Amino acid sequence: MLFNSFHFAYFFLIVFPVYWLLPHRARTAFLLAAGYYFYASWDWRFLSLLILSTVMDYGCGLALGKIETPRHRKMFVALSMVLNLGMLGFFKYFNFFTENLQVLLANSGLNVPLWQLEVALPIGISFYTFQSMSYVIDVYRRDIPPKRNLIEFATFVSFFPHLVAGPIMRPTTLLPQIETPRQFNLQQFYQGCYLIFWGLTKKIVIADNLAMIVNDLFGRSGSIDGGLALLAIYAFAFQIYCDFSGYTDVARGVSKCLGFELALNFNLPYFATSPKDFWSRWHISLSTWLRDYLYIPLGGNRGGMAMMYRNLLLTMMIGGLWHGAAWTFILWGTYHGLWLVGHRMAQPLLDKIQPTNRGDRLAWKLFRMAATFHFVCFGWLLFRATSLTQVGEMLNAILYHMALPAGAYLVPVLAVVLPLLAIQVWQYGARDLDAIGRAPWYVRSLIYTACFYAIVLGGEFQGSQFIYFQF
Amino acid sequence: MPEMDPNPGPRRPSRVPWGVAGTLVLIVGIEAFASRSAAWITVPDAWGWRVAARAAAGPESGADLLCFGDSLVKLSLAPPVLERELGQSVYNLGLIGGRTPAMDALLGRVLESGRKPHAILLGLEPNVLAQNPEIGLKFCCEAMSLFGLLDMAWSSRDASMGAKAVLSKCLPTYRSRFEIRAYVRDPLHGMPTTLLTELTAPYERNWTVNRGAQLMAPGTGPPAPPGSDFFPYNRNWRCHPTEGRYLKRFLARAEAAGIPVFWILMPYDVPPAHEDKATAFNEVYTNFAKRLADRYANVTIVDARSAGLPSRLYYDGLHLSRDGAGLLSKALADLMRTTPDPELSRWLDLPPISPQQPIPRLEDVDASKLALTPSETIRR
Repeated sequence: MLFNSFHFAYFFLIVFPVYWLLPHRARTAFLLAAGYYFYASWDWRFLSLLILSTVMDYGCGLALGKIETPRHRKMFVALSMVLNLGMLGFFKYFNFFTENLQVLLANSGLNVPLWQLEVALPIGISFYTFQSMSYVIDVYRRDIPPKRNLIEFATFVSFFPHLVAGPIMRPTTLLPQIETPRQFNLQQFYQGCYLIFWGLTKKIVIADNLAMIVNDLFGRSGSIDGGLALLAIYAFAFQIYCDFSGYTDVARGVSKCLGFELALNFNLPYFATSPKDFWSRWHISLSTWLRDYLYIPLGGNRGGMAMMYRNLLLTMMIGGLWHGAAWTFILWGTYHGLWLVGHRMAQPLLDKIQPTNRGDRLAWKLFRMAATFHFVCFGWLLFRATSLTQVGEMLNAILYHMALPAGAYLVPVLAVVLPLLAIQVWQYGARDLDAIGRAPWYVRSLIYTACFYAIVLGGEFQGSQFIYFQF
Repeated sequence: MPEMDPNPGPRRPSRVPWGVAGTLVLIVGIEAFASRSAAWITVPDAWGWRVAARAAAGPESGADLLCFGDSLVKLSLAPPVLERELGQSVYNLGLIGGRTPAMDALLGRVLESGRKPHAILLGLEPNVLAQNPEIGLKFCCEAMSLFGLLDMAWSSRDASMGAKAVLSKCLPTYRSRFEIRAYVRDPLHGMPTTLLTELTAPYERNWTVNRGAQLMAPGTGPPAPPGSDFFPYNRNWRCHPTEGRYLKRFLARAEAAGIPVFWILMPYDVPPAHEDKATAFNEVYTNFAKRLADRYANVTIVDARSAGLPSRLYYDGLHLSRDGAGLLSKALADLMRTTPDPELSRWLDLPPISPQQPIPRLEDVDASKLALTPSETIRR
């Protein structure tokens, strides 16, 4: 059930009034039922995995609440991780590992046919397993007490707005909201409606229109000129941003309408001035999860520079692998890891550049933004490409066959990207993501009307899936 | 550290969402303007539905004979010839890409306006009957009320169709979004912009001159793709449940009003290589038509599939061109005139039509375009 579908619209039109009419306890149970219905509408068979992960981690949490022996406590954490990562590994990475093992064996002279799975990837498994695991780890660390109410815990895992593509919510943030009776707040409802509207605009108007151009150009990467190749990469950068942040906005908006606050997941990432800044603005919930549950346990920045670089690289490689079972994702993660490491190494030199003049400071900032954006775009090329050959083709075109992109491609890209950038510059300049919400009512009316007609006239209504659903 | 202020403070609280209120006012204004400018953003085929819907509620529907159906009727039945031969007034309410829900809605409009034809001529394209009516939703909005569209969605058990129907009916810009996009996109691609008012004007004249029919000039149809082995029908044909439901509703409505229905099984061009397929399909479709005719006592099947019209009289293999329409209409009129109490017959076979006989003079769309005066190109 996609957010940009009539099915979801009908679903939410029923859930919303029923939810607010119910008393608190019944409301939580109703949310749980809605979450299971939402998930089952994708594929009812995989509902069992969601329930299994929920029950398992609920049990592990309770056990950790009773057991004091460190060795036994670690056992239950390990059990949760093995079961959750085992599920994730089986459905998502089994074929990847067997294919590569087969290639490795073949290169060693052993031709061993290995079993290949033919099963669909359960939607959202990468998200809810990470979320559920973080609960067990937080209980183990005694950051939160174990949850005794199974309904409330299950609702935490299966809260439908963020179930299939995040943001990954920490138990310390979401569980208290589930436990506390919620009151209808008109301003929160308005903010929710605004986020839903803005998220759908980004998805239907910008992401889906750019997708057609990106798919066309990447589909014939061997025959396009450098201008089109570069345009394809820029277009993909905005496509994936609008697709994912659009989804997140709708998720946050729906949550607000139900009285919940989900974490901000995107904070104008293309205005970042360094790789570290980028990762504090892009998919914030995943990057903070990886920091808290992988980077820091690996040692973080303790143990010297070499260890820190190793931990950074490993964390980003695993972050890349999380996105998908393909070498291009691992390469993308590794690239970002190397970029982070390289930037850290260059930091002392960069810190010496301290323009005193206001104009020079602005120019230096813009330069860093542009450079960061292009480093990110190179990463997107690795992310989007179907093979290293395609990466080579696109780079070859950019380096050796540069030309002005054809107007038939350039104009539609600019038509959707420039208005987005204008709004984001406004938000950045005002240092406020809610800048539109604080504008005078007549300005808001004009913007809302423009977005409405962008959707009506320019939107793609094929109900296309969100990119991050495949992760 | 990001420079954004994560907690910029609450917005100015307001119980009334003035921004949304202003947006609604703007949207209503824009949609009202779009509605008044419909001629500029509606393609000729869709405009034809609008004209037919107006005619169904207007004096045109007071004709003695009314023709209902899809493009097979609109292009292949010529009221001027039928009127001349039968001495009765005839109006063609056929719809390009017509769906039975829309057809039923038009008959409803005719009866609600207090008019009742002496008989109905009905023609249906089997592949349209086999399709989900959602395909023609945009056109259905031109001829059906919001309630009728929602009823169609309910009948199809399709909530998505219901939502699209509401959007299409209430937002003319949504309904015509592809046409509006073309106005913006074509100049950017260096293509000439064609005003839809200019495109539709010859058709509108042709509909007026031919009492609702649209007659296409001979030899102007789309050429068959080279090496094409395509034949449109096969023995696996099935009527879509929703289309079937509304067809029955239409026939029941006519029966209740005491109106005889002559359901014409329209002729189509059969390439020699596909005669077996055509025979197999005809059997399936005949059984379908007979089952319905048995159920509704007011229905008479007129089998025109053996009319034997040569390929040159077809516009595109399914639809007849101007001359073919003239000959078919004359043959139908002859059959009805020479058959005693034709409405009491359950099955009538149209004899083969001699293409050598004089072809009735009719105005086709190309001639309508030439005949247009400058003032007629500017529609209200």
